[in-house]
Amino acid sequence: MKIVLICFAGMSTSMLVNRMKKAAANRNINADIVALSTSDMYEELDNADVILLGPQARYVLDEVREIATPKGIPVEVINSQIYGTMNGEAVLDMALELAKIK
Amino acid sequence: MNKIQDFLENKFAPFATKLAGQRHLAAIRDGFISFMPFLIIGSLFIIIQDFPAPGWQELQVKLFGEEFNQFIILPKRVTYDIMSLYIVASISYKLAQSYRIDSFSAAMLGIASFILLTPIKTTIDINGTTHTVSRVITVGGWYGTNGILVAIITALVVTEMFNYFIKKGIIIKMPEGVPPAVSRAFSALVPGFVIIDTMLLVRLLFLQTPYQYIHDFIYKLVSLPMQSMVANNLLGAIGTVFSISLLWSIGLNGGTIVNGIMRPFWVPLQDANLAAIEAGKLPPNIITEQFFDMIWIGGAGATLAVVFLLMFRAKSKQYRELGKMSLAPGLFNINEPIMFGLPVVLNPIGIIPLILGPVAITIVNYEAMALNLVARPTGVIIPWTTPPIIQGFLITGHISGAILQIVDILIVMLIWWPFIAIMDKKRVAEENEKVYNKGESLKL
Repeated sequence: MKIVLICFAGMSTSMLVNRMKKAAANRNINADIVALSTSDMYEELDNADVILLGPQARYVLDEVREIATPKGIPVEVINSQIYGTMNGEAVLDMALELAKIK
Repeated sequence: MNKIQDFLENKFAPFATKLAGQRHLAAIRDGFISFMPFLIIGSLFIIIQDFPAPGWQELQVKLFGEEFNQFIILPKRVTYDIMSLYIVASISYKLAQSYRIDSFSAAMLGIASFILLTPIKTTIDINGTTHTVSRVITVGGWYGTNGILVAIITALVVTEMFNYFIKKGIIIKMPEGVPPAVSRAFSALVPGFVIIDTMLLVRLLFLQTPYQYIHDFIYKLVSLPMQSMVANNLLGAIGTVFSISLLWSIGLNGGTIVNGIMRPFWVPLQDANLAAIEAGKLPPNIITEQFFDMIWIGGAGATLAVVFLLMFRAKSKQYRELGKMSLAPGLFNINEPIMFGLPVVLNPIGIIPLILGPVAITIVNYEAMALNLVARPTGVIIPWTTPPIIQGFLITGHISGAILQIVDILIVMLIWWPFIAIMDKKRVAEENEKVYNKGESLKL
């Protein structure tokens, strides 16, 4: 499955992505997790299974949903506390949970 | 205090979120961001040409000959000095992308339209007489930083028109079986024709006015007043820093949002500084985008100071851990861990120093530069992730810039200290009682 994280420059999100990858590896989950900036997100959105936004980039939520919802891709904003503490486990849980609903 | 928080959360946040996500503002912002690497590359060659070391100019001539100075600056000429062409293309591209229409065609149409609105001749002096040369796209002038506003307007108008035609289906449709690339190229034909005609008409209309070109009109009516009123003074700087911090207080990336709006007015100021450096003079302008890069030590809110306070002064275990975890990203001016982890965002105690700190050092830095105690930004662009202190040195080309950033960190630490102390005391009490509300506990 492919999990896409979006923040402004893709910088702080890439820290989180590294932690999520570790968490996924520990649980033997095969997931492709990438961090994108809001300015390059368009190309990648179509192939995603789950899209998560950093809380500071929640201003693109409507725009992303406009593209993703018709395709049935769930989009959510990551909780600030979880984001701030860079809790990879919790974000991975969130992504898996959303993918299940799909 | 609750009233302020209520206002921020329920009134300001929805408004700001909408503004930040606004399609056209986003396209302008993203268009500039895509072009940034080229400006950084161009900057590098200015540093090579004008490295702030005595004897470097003479050494260049000695090693590489007289011509070298103008040769090595060419990368700057083809980035900065025709940047309006790039900007019109990249903004058209980004806007078309957000409409999910053929973005490459939009970019091409943007370039053609921009040139159609710009002088395609220039004058040169030969032995004291002025000659007009036609069919010339100049390196510099309206094609450079002065044409940016027209480039932005052109990009938005052209892409809007293009989108209108595509969405209304006013295009030549190819029969099925024609390769998509071919049919896409043809679908740009009708809208392109109308857009080019419109631009030709606008050119004709402006030629009837004393302005001659839309550039002169926009420059005198919008760019110059905005530059002097909003951009190039201390109040404008404080306003900029205040708005960015306020947006961060509700957890939105204020820097991206505000810089996206202000950048068109900052770039010419920065370009003027570069021109001065090239001419061997001191930079005239204090306010450039890099002035603000110097303020955000450790990221928005200048929170590297907070990282140090948490690491060395906090008694709460969680805060110490948070400080340690935030140090590495903080050194590269990334501060989301502090913003969302402390948290500063939507924390009425945190919002006060979040705004006060940067405003205080903006005043200090501006005055220090105005009094010539500290060198002004040279106009060279370095990536915003460059670690503080080194960053101050590179931006100003002088050691005083580095020292200024150290002073800034100390000032911000002083401002934050009482607030961190309050939060820390509360957190320690919570840690001792071990009564965590599960939703609030930090899982570190």
